[in-house]
Amino acid sequence: MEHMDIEKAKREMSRTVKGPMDLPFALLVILLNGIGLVMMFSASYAHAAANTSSPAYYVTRQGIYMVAGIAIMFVISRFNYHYFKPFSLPTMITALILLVVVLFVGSDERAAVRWINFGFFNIQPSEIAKVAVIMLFATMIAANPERLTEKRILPAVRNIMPYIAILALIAGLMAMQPHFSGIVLILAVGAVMLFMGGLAYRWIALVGALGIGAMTILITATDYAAKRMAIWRDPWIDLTGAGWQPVQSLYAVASGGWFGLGLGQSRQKYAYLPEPHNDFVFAIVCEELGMVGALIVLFLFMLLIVRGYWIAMHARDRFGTLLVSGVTTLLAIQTFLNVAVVTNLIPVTGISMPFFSFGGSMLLIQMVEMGIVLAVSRQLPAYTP
Amino acid sequence: MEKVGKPRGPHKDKYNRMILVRVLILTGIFGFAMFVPLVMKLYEVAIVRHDELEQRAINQATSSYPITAGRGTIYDRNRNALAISASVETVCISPKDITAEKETLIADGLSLLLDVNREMIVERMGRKNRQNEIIKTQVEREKADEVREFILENSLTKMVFLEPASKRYYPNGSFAANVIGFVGAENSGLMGIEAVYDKSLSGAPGRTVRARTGQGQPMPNQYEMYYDVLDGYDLVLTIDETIQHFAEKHLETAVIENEVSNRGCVIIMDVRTGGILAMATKGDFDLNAPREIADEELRLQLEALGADVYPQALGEAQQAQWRNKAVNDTYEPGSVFKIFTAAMALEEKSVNIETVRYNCTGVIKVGSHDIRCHKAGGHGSQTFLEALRHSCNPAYVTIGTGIGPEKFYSYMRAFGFMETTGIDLQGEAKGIIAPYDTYSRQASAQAVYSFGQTFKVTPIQMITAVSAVANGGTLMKPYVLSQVTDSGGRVIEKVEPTPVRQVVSAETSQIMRQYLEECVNQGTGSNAYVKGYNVAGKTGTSQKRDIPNADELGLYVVSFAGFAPSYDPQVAILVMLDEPGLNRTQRMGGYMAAPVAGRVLADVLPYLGVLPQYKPGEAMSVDVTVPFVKRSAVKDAEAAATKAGLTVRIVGEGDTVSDQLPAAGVRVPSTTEMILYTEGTKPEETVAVPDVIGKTPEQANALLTNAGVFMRPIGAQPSQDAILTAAWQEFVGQEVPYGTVISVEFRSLNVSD
Repeated sequence: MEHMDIEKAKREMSRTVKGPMDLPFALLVILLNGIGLVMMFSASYAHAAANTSSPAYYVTRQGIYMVAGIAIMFVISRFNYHYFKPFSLPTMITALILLVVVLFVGSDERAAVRWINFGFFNIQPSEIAKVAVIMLFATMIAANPERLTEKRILPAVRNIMPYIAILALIAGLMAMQPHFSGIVLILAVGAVMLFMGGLAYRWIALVGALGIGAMTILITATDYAAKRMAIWRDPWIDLTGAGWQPVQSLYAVASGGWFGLGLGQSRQKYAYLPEPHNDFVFAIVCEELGMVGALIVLFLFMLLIVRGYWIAMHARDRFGTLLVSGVTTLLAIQTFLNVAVVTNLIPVTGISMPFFSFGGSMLLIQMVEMGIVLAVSRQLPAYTP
Repeated sequence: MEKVGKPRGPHKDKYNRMILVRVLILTGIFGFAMFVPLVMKLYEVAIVRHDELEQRAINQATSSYPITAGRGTIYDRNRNALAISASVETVCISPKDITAEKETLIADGLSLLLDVNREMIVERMGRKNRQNEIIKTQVEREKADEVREFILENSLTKMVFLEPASKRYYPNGSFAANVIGFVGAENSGLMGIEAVYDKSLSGAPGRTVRARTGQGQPMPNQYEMYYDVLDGYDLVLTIDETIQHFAEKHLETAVIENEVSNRGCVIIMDVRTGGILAMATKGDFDLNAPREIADEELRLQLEALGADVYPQALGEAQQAQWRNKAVNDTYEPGSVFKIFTAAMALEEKSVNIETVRYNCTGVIKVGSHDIRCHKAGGHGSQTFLEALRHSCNPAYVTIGTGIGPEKFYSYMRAFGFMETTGIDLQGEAKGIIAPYDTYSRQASAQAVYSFGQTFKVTPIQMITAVSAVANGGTLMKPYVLSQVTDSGGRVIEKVEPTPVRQVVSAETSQIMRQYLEECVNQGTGSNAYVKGYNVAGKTGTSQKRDIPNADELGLYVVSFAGFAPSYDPQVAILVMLDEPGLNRTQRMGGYMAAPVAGRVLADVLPYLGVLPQYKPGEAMSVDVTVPFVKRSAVKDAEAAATKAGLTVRIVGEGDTVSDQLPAAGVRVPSTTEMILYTEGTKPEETVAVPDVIGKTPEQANALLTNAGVFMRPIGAQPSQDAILTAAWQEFVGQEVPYGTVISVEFRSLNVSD
């Protein structure tokens, strides 16, 4: 027992491991990156031609980040993921500091400050916060696994308090940017971490009910929300204003039909769909490759997500399971929200599509996350039937 | 490194199982369930709503630019243009492309160049997502060039641009205005031929469809489609510009001379085809400014009105001046209608024209009504022809009654008075005639109908019926359009004359031609007489009985309907003057309308190439051409003059002619005495033309001859009944060269109808 613990400790403390990484997951990530780059190129072509020095402006930048991102993914995957534990708190502190800093030095994009400009590099502190939540929560839960399973109310409240406090702090800072879609993602990821940590179903039900209640009040109580809901139901009522984006996205998706207009043949990217290379690459996928192409992309995402959970399930320990399920769920929610916005399933909100949307720092952080998953995959116990 | 409290043993297994279950739950939600709504929604948008939304996307991304079709030209029958379309341009701006720093420049520049309101430009410039806002239409070439220069100088391409369009011009202004009509906005026909044949004239506009990006630039890989423009067809009318000109000239003179207050009209018809050669209404309006009130006096009256009633009054005045009196209005034909009563009697053989005599005592009793003749004391005993020449009402009551009410009424129908003629002009009115039941119950109605009173017809109905009497008895459908051609002159459609029905026999027509010529030669129509051209016709005068107090107010409508030449009728003419002035004895068709017909026909018949045929009595006053006799022997000169039909007077003692009067080549009446000078030349001084208005032909001739000028009498010819006086003359009071030929129009005064 003691020996094993020493072995275990050694393993946990060693910086790198040599086990094979999960090849299907890695290949899916690279495949989606490749498809994403091609589609982002097509989507950005007209916008880049009209607004930048070169039609390839976005694709060259994204390409460089992608190569770097894949490299980073492999580097991260070489690490022993237990080695990340001590970094979880500093990461969180860094994220919080950046979230404060961004309020003062953030660059203004559509009336919200979300970016910090490092000269060569723009970074969204909220992206770091997502990773920080996953890492810190995984570390905390792995340290005291049964705490969250507490069913009695007072101890439960006491046990859950630190998590809630961290989430509230992040959400509060992000609300000041404001960045509500980011808050939704952080809270969702936090909730999933707590769920995976064994939070009793009764508390899940309670928090869920409270959350739904709060959402309902928010939606119905403010004019702003009411207007957004109205535009969501019929975007044509404000065609030249807030309805423009959803309408143009619907036009793009609908124009594709079953088999699409053909790669590069989108009409909507010609200054109809605003910044199609950001949040609406998937609309261009639908327009150019049709429903069939869109289903293939979604299927690849599905495989990636399911494979992610498979890795989570087979992870060597709880920390691994928690890390991987957090990262996988974050990826899934982001994909869902982006496609839902593109098809007007939900009101427009600024959520980018993993691997498809333009954005260097975002992509790098995503690849770091993928690297974490692969790192966990390298330590899966040998398959024993 | 395991922390205290980490579950172990079964507890640990339970915890691991819990984790496993929860990962499976997440897999279920995020790995599978999550994709269900996405795929469903995707299917709904991409497949179910594909057609609808894609169409909207395409509509949004394509812009369609109309290409205006050129409107066809309207020609007279000799291909003189009456209405043409000139190329103009439309100045537009694209607010979407206008940059902020150019706004002031554009607003200032365009408002100055095009003389448009600056506010309007600024307002249109504010419609920022538009690409095609019209600033001014119908900009002519010169102005358009200035705008082009302005665009180039200030690099405003795409912000300001011009589009081709067309503008309608009427080269002759008010010429045939009520027939040709005019166009409104968008060049669509509003009145007259322009409206009736709008479809043929306007053609089909073309379209260019271009795919555009959201910023209005052409899409790089997209299509352009053109739909060909089809220019409008040209129309060739039956109207003859020259004939129309004669009709308008003399009608206008008559309207002024006779102080006509409710306008007048003249129609000239080809009796064989029903084609309208001329259709004039005066006062009219300028086709190039149709909304302006042409009547100066009326316009001033209107402008003096308050703003509350002005628009309505203006609108009414416009409608009134646009009315084509020949087609849109009705009038009481009066004695002109005796043409048809006479023709019916002949056709029905209800009288023996050789033996019948009508004794007019000045009044005839019909039931309890006394119907008076216009000649107090009566015409005495008259033959059938004399009754027509005298336009004797009691005689016609007798003739009409003899035909019988049923027959009379059905002939009215046969002559086309109960229906519209179907002429291809707008808003043709129908005659106002009592229904048969009412008509047949009242003997007095039947009596007055026979001389054309108490019912109304349209001028076009009247001339159509007169043409039928003249052309051998066939009622033709009148028409204005003769051909439709494409812009290359290829005939698309040719209108053939349409006979409606045979109304009277050729024999009846034959007799009527002679009788109606007699009405002009020595009857109430004598002022329509044109030497050598055998004008036939009948006058009419009618009180406007449908207007209260018409008699006290002296409201009459006077008219003349006829045709020429009587032995082979070519053209029919109708002159109608509504509410003439002057004194009451002059408000007669014979006095006011007949001379108009005479003047018009005197111009029209030679133009049509009708050769004059002089009757024995007329030969005396036929115009001849003065021969060139200068420098020839007196004897030879005398022979030449005699051969030409002139008498000579020799002045001087020489052997050769040194000068002559009138000059060679001048047309003079054959009664003229030619003067041959054998010593020296004719007097060089000018003479003052004496005023001979109101004089008899003899008096006038003496006065003019004494003054040293020659008289050419025109108008009514002398006859036993006619008391001729000069009604009009050339050069009155002016200085003219010695020996000038002065035309003097004589008019008969005893034309009491």
